[in-house]
Amino acid sequence: MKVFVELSPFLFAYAGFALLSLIMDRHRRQLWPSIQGWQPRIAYALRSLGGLLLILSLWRCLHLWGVGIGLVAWFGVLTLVVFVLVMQITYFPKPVVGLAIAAMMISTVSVFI
Amino acid sequence: MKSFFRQSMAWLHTWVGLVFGWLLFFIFITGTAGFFDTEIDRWMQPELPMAQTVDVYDFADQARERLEVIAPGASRWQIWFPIDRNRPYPEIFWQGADSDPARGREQIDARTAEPLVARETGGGQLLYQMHWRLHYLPTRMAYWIVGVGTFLMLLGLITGIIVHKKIFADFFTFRPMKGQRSWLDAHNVVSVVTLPFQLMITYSGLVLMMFTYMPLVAAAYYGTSAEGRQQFISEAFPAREVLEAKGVAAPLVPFSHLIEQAVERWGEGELSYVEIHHPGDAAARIILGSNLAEGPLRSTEQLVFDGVSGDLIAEIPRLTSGAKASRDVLYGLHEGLFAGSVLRWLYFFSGLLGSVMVASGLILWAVKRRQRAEKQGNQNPFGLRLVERLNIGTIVGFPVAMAAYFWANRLLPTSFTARAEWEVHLMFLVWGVMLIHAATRPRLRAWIEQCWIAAFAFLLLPVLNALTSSRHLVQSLRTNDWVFAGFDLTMFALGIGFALMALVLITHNLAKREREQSVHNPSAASLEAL
Repeated sequence: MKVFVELSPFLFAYAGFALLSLIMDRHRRQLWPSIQGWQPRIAYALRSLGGLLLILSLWRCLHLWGVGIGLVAWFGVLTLVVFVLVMQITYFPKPVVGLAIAAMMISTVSVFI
Repeated sequence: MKSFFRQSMAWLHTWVGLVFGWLLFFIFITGTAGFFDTEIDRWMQPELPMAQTVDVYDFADQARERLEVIAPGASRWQIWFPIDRNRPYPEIFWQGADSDPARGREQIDARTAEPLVARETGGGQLLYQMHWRLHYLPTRMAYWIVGVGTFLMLLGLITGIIVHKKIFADFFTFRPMKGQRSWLDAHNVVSVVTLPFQLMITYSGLVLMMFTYMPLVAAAYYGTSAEGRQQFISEAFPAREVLEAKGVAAPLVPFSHLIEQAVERWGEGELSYVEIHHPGDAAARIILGSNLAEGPLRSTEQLVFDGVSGDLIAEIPRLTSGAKASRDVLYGLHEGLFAGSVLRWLYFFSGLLGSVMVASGLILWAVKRRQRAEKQGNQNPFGLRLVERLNIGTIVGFPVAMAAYFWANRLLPTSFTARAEWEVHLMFLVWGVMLIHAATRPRLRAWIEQCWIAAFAFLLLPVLNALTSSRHLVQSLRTNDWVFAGFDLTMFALGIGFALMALVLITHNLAKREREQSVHNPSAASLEAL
């Protein structure tokens, strides 16, 4: 269980960036080919949720490591997560949506552990 | 006007990046290895036990007894406690002793209170120090070369941000197997994802050396004389103030009472060192320091005691001034001594991506001009050839040289007195050989062959470790020896990485050759166009 707590900054960031990439036309076509385009309201909601998840990731970093180290760690977390996501979108785009939902659920649950 | 500005920035980015790229790659790789400096130290001295912890009271007394024997009359003693990965074993240090050597350092085995004995090696410290000392060059010259390189790196980052038109639109974009397009994507992606790290590490690197690069700022206030400099240093770094000995003998107070005060103040495991100025003299001072690596503010809190009476003379807080604190935070961020295992790996990963950023930029330069040269009818300009060959011999050749450094560590006989120097000589010799290899082989062959050499050099390191020490991978996994297991597994992963690079190069070029053949065969070409 402790593993999930330590992973929660990564999972929140993953879910957040996955959402942010989904809003972009190019990646929506890669990840979710059946959808032709977002309605502006849905795009706005997704973008806000993505941003919120990144802030939750920051909050978990500060919670786990304190302000000084947590802030530094957050940038490292974002770097790693975006890099992994870019590789995934390029080579294995299909599981991104499912993984993002799972990441969001696990990290949310881990907050209450 | 706007496009003229962007074009000039692009020109600057391209040429600064090219001219300093290889130096920056060297700095990035060795600096990144430095995030695991003590771990590499330990792998390179497999005779040493696993990391130790000590009772501060007992070890302070043991260390004092030993220092009284080996370094009497010293002007300074230091006793360091192993509180985290930055210092795996207890250590003592002395300076200005009557004895020989007048200055020295010993790692102590906490179990026996005797000095630890291990093979001579430059270890991870040498790799780490290489990223600003450049090893063979005179110190000041190296500082200035690295300084100019760092400054131009910062320039490269800023011009890169200006030139990159679509930071957000291309945030997640990588289009592989498209030649120049793919290299530009790769260069953009690794630069953008690591941008906070790059800006921090470059800027803080400059700030670390600011007294070397901008001595006149301090000189404007304190003058250029030696006394002025001394005054500046003692004001900026109070604990480094030089005290004169009185020349009157007086017994040194026992440490236990002083340590008690420090432990009470900071808690268990936070006392980092005890420093004694002029032990045995009436002017003796004892300074106790807290952990330097508590957070990004790289500074200790110090308790200064009179060495004869044991009275607390001064408390120097971690924060003395805003200016010094900003420097200490940047220093702390650059070294990352405070990083635990998760953050340490993130640092390492960011550093690796930084090296990839430099490497992809260098390759992009060559790929772009190679395409242009081929369009203009099989020209083969010397400059392009030079860059291509230096790229191969540095981007793959230098990692091979680093692997050679580790091989030399295990293969040079421990009785060989100059082995520490020869480890490094061999590293640079191998780099030279790789550069010659890159210059003499056909270009693609050179890439593929060097990738294979790197793959085997790294993949076989865990095997070499198993053959030359008792701490092989299975053993270290079983005993939770994560330093050795981590090193072996990392080398293994690097080897796999280079092997994959070789395979990608081979398959990619096979596909390219087939495409080229199909050009001569019209029906196949039209099929491909569909």
